[in-house]
Amino acid sequence: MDNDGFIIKIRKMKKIYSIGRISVPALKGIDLDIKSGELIAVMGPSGSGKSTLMNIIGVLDTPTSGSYFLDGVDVGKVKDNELAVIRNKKIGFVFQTFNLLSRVNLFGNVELPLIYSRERLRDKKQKILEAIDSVGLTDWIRHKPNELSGGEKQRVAIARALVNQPSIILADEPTGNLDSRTGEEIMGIFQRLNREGKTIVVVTHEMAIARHTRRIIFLKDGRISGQEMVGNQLSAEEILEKMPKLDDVI
Amino acid sequence: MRRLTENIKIAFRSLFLNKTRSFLTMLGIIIGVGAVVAMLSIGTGAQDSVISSVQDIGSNLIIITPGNPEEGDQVMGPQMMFAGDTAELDEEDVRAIERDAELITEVSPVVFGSAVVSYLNRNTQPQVFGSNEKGMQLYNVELEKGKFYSKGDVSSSANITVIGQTVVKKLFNNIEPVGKIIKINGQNFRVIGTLKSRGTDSFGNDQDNIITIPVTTVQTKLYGSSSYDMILTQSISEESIDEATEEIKDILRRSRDIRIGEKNDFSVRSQTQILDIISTITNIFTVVIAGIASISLLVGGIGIMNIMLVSVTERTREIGIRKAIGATNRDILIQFLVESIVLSITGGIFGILFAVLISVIINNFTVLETSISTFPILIALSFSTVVGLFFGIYPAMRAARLNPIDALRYE
Repeated sequence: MDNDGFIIKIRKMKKIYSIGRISVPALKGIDLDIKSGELIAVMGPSGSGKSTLMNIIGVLDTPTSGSYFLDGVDVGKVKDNELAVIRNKKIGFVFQTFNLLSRVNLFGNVELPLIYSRERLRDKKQKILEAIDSVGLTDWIRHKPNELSGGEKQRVAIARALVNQPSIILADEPTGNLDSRTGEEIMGIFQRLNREGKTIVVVTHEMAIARHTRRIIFLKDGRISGQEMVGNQLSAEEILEKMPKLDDVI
Repeated sequence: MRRLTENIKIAFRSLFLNKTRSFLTMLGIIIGVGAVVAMLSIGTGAQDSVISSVQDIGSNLIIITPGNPEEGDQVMGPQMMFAGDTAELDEEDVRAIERDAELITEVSPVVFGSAVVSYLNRNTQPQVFGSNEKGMQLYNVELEKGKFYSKGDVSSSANITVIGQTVVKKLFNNIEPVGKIIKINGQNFRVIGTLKSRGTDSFGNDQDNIITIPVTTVQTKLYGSSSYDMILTQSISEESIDEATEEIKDILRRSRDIRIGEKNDFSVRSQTQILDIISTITNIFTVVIAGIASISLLVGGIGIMNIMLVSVTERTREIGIRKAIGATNRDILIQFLVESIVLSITGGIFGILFAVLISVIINNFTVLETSISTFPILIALSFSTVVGLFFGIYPAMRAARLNPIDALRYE
């Protein structure tokens, strides 16, 4: 179908959780379009439904009603197994808690999406090395996640999200567990990837993080309460330059 | 295929990560498989050596025993051959066979017993084997020194004996036994020869702890009875052995006045029939072992299921991550299934090694002989694979059905 350059098209989306006899509406009718190549933030207090929205956009969950087109595919009409394929091909996840496999080294973690990819890849190793290189961790390739710092772990997670060349990267509070400098570094990577053409959605509750994107969607009580086009987008590079370096502090 | 090797790699990684736990889980399978393979190797070894010792006895042998358990009471096992019945075998029967049988070369009556044997201040209690002059030849026993008793010695009930190596060792320490007078149950006997060593039989009995005496002497002077424990005969050829068996049955029925329709009160068995009985017994043994083994494999399998369920719970988050990244339910199912199969096959392999070790030890340190064959090993391996598959399905299905969002949130 014609997706008018929109990679995500959400119409009248509702999500209701039923816990026993009680129904809890988490999303009460969302309309959202995201263009290919956008860098966008979703903000809202806890309980606003941003995690639910994120899970549905990431095809980990399905809406109760409404429609969701991802890259032209009506996700509502797709079966469980095909949802897994969509997650594998079209989506790269970056989580607040990194969610790396602790027993597997860096290479193995980044390789993971390719293991579940149904395609035969000849240049598989090359792809993994490139993804690791793009987050600057080539020297750590045989190390396990517990030997890395938080920021490095998140960079591994980004490499893993990149390796299958997805249409969209979803980052759920990617800087939530990091100090401000490392958080800046991560946002810098996202900004660079966005310049290279990647569509990136960042969920956050920090305005300072959200201002690194070009558009902010505000969620409240399961509805979009407003949006803001960011006028003077923050550049992670510039901020990092102004920040005191570790060497200066010591 | 690539993902299968990946799954096997994942499985081994998680087994190595919890070495103690994996080992304890495998223990059930190790013991189960080890027990089956070891017991079967002992069984086959015993069967082999029983068969070879039966074949050792002498070729084309036909054994006549009193009583008929096959058509009377259902007695199984070695007693079958010596089942006591009121009917006895005596000289009449031997004469009838010697006179009428055409397919038979040699006949010897046999009486078994034991006696106290002494020389000077030493004594021992060996088995007594009473036979006629053909007895040793029928039994495939060879002379080492001296001579065997003659037909004349048998008819005159001479007080002479030929003794086995164990008796030689116990009574005559470095003294030449042939020609010496020894006491058997208090009576004087002259040693006229010694037998070549035959070692132990398959039940661990010393076959050299034996003295042979003319059957007539045993009957009249040692035990005072006129009946025989068995009659040994030999058919003229291997081909005629079944015919010879039938011939003996006919002769004995006639000489013992058994009417048509009445059952035999004696048994005639050829070596092949005895071998058949042995294999029937060992087959029962095998079935019993298989039964015990399947119980322990079942218990081992439950252990595997238990630990796989724990593993699924522990790795809920990992499952969530894999699913978020694109693993299908089937991918997760296969991952955990492969893991439980790897667990049980590894257990099976350890079990086989364990069994080989046991069988080598038994072979070297006991009288039992063991023989490991590929068949029980293959059976054990495929059985443990099936156990892993069967008991792995439920935990793997639980893993596969996990909702990725809940799994990711799991702490």
